[in-house]
Amino acid sequence: MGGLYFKYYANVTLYNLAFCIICPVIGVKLMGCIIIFGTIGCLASFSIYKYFQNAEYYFYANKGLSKTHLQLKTFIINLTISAFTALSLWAII
Amino acid sequence: MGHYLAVKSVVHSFGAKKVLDEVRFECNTGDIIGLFGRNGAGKSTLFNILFGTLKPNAMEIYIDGKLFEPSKEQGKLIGYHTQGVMLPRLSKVSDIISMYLPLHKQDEVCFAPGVNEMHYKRIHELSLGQQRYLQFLLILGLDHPFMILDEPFSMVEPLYKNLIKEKLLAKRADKGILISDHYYRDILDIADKSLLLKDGTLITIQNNQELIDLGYLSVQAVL
Repeated sequence: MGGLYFKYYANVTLYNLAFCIICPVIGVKLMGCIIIFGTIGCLASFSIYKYFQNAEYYFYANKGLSKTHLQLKTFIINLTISAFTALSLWAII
Repeated sequence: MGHYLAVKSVVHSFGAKKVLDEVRFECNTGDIIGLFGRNGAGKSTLFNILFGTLKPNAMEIYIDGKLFEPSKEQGKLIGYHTQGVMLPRLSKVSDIISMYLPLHKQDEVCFAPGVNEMHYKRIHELSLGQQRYLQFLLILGLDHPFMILDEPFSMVEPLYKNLIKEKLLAKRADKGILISDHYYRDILDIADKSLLLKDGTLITIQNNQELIDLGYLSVQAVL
């Protein structure tokens, strides 16, 4: 089940990373990009995934991984990564 | 051990249009129930309600005598083969099989006719028919006692169609199966019982003539 979840996480996070990489182009600084990864970027990646790969939610649901479960878990993981990275960066600077 | 699904009542509307009006039927292990209905009749709506991805206005469903709440027990008792392809496009077939099914079920899929040639490909490299065939095998391999199949024969080549029918007949000993497709002859070949969803209610069908009389088939289509 962990492998199946990781497949979803990897898919969604690719969109999130792409979103965060674009951010410096419009003037967002590094700390801003890190915070975006755990917040708006994550929410945006859910929307992009839904737009392009919505049917895949049924694939996971058949194994008991609901859309809410997948999104909530991903959001918590990304928020944790983002907070930890931002705090580490803040401590170093 | 046999299982028993009893849909006592499902009611659902989209705005003012009542799509499902007191829909009721029963499905036991060993049953293959064919569900017919014109486009927009509410077949997929009913399937989504049973699978837990759509909340109806009202429902009363029991599995083995216990009240069943689809959204809370999603993916545990009912497997759902959707109309479209739901497999992750970038994944390898071999990875999906190994992640999706328990070890003792993987061989059933890996050694199924036609799978060997797609084993090391990614999903997006397969034809639409192959994707749907693989999707069918994966859902069939799940341990869920009930299975909903929405258009399993669409886009699938005749050779795979026969394999799907053989596999369904072989699996009926372990599962209750609800199946819908506009390829009505394929459904009639394997179904024990046929139902027509019309004006929000289910009507039991005995033969092709009734499908004509109720406006699902034209006389020319049957000839």
